[in-house]
Amino acid sequence: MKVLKKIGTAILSVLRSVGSFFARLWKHKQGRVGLIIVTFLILVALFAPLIAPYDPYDVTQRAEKGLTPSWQHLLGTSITTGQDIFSMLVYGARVSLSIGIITGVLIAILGATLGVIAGYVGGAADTIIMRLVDIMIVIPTLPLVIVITNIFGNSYFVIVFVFVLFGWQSLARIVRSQVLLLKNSDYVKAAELAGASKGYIMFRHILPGVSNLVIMSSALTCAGIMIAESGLSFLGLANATSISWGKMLADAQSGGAMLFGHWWSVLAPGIGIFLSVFAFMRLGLALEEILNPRMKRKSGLVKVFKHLNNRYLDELFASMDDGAAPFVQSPEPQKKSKRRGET
Amino acid sequence: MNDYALEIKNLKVIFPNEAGIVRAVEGVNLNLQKGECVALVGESGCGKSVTSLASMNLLTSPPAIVRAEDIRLCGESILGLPDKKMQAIRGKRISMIFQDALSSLNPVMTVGKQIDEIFKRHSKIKRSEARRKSIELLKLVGVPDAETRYKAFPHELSGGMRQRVLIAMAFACEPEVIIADEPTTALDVTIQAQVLEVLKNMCRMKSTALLLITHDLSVVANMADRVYVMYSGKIVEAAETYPLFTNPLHPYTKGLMASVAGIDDEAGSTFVQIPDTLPNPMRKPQGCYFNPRCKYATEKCKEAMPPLKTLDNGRQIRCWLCAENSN
Amino acid sequence: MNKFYVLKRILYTLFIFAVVVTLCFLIPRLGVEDPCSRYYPAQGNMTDEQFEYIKELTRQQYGLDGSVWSQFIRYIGELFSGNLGTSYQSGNPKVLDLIADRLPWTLTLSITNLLISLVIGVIIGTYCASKRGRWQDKTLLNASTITTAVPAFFIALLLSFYFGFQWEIFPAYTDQNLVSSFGWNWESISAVAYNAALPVISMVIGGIISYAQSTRDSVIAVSNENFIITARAKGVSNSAVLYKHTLRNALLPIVTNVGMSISGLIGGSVVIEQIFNWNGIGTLFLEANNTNDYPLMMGIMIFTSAFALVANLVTDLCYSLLDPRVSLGGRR
Repeated sequence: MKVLKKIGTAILSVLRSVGSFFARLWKHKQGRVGLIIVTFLILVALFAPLIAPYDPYDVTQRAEKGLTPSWQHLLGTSITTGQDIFSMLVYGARVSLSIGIITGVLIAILGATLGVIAGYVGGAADTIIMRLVDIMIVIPTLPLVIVITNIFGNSYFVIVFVFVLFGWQSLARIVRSQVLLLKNSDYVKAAELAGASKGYIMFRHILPGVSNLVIMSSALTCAGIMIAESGLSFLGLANATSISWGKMLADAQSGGAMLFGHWWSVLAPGIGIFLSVFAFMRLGLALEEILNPRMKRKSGLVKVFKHLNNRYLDELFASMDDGAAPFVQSPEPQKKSKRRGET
Repeated sequence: MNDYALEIKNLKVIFPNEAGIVRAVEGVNLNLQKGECVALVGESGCGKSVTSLASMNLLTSPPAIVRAEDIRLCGESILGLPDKKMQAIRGKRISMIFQDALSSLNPVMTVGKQIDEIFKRHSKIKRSEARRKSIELLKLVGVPDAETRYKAFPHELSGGMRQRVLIAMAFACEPEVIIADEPTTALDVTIQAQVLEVLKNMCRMKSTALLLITHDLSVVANMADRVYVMYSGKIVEAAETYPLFTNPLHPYTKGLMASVAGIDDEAGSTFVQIPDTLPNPMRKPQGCYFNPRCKYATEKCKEAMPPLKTLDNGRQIRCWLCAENSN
Repeated sequence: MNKFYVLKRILYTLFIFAVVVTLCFLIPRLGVEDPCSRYYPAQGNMTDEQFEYIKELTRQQYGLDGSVWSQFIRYIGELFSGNLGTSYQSGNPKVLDLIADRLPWTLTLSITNLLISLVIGVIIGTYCASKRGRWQDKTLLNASTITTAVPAFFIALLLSFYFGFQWEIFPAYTDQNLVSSFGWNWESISAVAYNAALPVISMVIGGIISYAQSTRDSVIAVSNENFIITARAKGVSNSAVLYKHTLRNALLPIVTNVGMSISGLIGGSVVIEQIFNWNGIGTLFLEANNTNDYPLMMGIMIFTSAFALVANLVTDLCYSLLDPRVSLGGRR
């Protein structure tokens, strides 16, 4: 019973911290935008069969090729196959999102592990990993990806594998330097002097610092992977049987959608790609600002205070004179302007 | 009246930001006679540096909002001068020495070029002439092997040398006024003494007025003729150096003096410290800004800010208690 | 600059290149079917011995005979004499010749793209930095949040759709006579420019904005540095502060960006080339991929990597020339 209770409280505390994490994300303007769009896209992907009016994988549900938008086919039909474009759009979210998220998670795991090993263990492990990073960063990625898919086929797993293979390097590099920074920081040295064990330092000091970094970058990684995936499937190098946004674009182009002026069949998948990449990027930037407040992106943006009108300033400055009455107006002009906005 | 080399009248600076308005400087009056060395003393964050930047018109707006009754350089008002005119004055008639010499020198430019730049800007002389003068200047501030150092990059010099370069730059056009913002804080104590000596000699030689901004009282005692003590954006005490050190009047000045250990102190005597820290510049306390930390604070101190009162002996003080005592 | 540092960098670059070459040698020999079986299906009227003989000849032609080790040594030897192998294409052209034919076309696109992006991007970035917090700056920020989320090939498709097909301002497909009829005369050059317009524009949009954004961030970071106040306190004019002090320092990180762009000059425009049917290395690579022409694919890989490596090396050395603090290796 006691064990159960312990597990229960542990789960509760995890839930609570996850909850507060999302609450903070929600409070952040960009984070909220990202969160809403990502949630929306995930729901679309999960419930694709319920949302899409047709099953684009079902050959019997194909209509005439290249239909213009109508009530039957909201975005018309594909020029090459006659599939319903709206249904393809909905189903396409599955491929883009799943590859993006799965690869993002795998890259986070691999990159963080190798980065921590390189930074914390050092020595030969560090040398080998960092040389590997150097080599892989130099090799032109897209050609090599094409070669690998050529050799090993382009099934879903090969694509994920290839993206993971070429995606972990920069994360490993960042994690390594962060680990080195933490390892050499005064407080870790102090902990070592105080006799803390290696494991304690690892879990108490190093990993928390690294995990923030990994969470921050993985959303951005997802975004990058989704762009790369769309490019690969646009080139016809990703899985040919599954429907993805990049492949829809390729079909539109090769079928002559441009020639016939079927702008919807180009725009729809493009907006799908844009929306998902955009959402993950917002999420990534928001996470960066929430988890690492020192590294505020917008720090360069200086607010121009228009609402500080001359009278307000005159009163404020006059209050500084000797013998003047203290300044009584609200010291927070931001709130003041908001209040003005409401009324 | 126009005897002052630099005269700052009622300078006020605020920095609005998302969280509120930082009231950095609240009505500072300050003056320097020609050839005089005046110290502006206070804790970090009390508005000393902002005062110096504002008096050289170096604060960018936004974010800063600056107001003053007047800022006069040798009798001429330099307040609100257009950019072009101010640029002609900066470096030529009033110049500045900064605290952190490494970050205050352009890392990708040789030290020599950075000094040349001043000559090129203010006196239309040839490059070779500028070079000769720069090297001469480097020798003057005690940089050994000045010809090679002239071609060095800032990161190749030691801290003391870099600070000397900054001093050389400040004296390049022999300005009437130099503002030195914590010129020795980043240096080792021994180097500190050397650099101060250089600064002192240069001032005497060129009869330059020096506004020395520092929190280091030993530097003040060593250098200054007069002292302004600043607290949370206001001048709280002003006096000549000797009387101030022997008989500090304001409780804050007293605290500052007591927090320095003298050599002749009895063994075992402890440092006296002022409790707590400077008030948040966005939410300053009511009444005298020092009252939450002052052990003599009365009810009156918590209600109203005392005015800066000039005593019979010419000393100025901003304190209810002292003002009453002297009456 | 330290000579030892330069030597170290060069040796390290060579080491990485050796690894890349080894990879490029090994990949097609791992689990890839024999090119002979693809091109010479066993025919009924050939005896097994005849067929084996033909296979042997083919293997010799492509350097696939003998043990892997002897192949490798021969491969390296050929590489030193500037031979990247023989393509499977009909007529068996040398890989290097194929690359040499296509390279100028790819470089036309990518170098134009780089120059335009860099120049305009730096100008816009500097301008926006001087207007920080105002609408110009905010517009740049918003533009960069959008363009970073749009793949360049989608921009290319849109441009091709509207400017190419709907309004017919620029050709949506490159004129295939462009290559064969090219000569160094005004007509040919303007024809190339006309055909390159859409591919370049579609790459340049993202490029300009990303250079502008990084320049802006860098300029703002530098203008908050203490030495800028020092320069202003010396009485240096605003424009001199900008050009001599701020930009000189702010462009240092941009050099790294340019280096990255340069290493992607050859391999970075595959998709764009494909969309506009541009006769460059990218389309050559895709053709090679479609015909399983491994020598050609690996040749392009080696060539591109070598180019990227040299670009990296040169960038690093340039950087240490521009920034006196990096003279002894490791950046400060």
